[in-house]
Amino acid sequence: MPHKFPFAGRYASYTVFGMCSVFFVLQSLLVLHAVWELGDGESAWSALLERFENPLYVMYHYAAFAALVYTGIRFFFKLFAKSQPPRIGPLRRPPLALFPPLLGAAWVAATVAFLVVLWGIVP
Amino acid sequence: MKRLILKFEPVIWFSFGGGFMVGCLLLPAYVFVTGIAAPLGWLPADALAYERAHELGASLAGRVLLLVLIVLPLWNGANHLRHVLLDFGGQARDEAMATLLYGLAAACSVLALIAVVRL
Repeated sequence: MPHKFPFAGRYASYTVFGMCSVFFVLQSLLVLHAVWELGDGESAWSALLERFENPLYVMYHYAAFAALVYTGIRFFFKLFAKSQPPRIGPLRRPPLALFPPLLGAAWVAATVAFLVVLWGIVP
Repeated sequence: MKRLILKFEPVIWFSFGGGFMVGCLLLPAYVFVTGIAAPLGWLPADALAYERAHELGASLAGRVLLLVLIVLPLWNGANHLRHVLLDFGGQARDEAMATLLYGLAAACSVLALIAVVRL
């Protein structure tokens, strides 16, 4: 094991990025749970929304939100461009500098669209 | 089991990348609305009412979106977690951990399909 692993130098952000994967698993399972309750009817759905008011759930969601945003920032703005091959079939990769603003714009657009629908602004 | 996992590695890594895209693009907004704004009372009264939520979720686009929102980040998390455990624990337990994590992802993917169909 390298002597700086896991929390010294550049390993710190690498390790934190890896740990955030726990929230990907947990949040997926929670979305599955929510969809299942939605299929069970109104009382199950209302009970789920009430459970989400529990302070432990709220604290979990704050942590999950932070982990997902951190992962998004690292993935979109630090890793994605570097991981693209120089060519995909006949197509050349666009200049690396294009990727962060394009991905950032996509992130903002997707977030706004999702918020607008879930918030009830669009009926 | 190790050979089976190796056979499916391309699909797993494809889901890993897709999971990052879907998870990072959509999950923060979902978590903010359902897990933070709703419990704190910031949403309009009927934003997450059952009738509205069911209508959104049970549409074709809603079902596909919910399925993708569950499955891709789940496989991403499972694969990423497997490699975190590899970093910390080495190769000795990799087969067992991979079986457990990918097995969980596979089982929950089937449950996700059932969940969206039964909406």
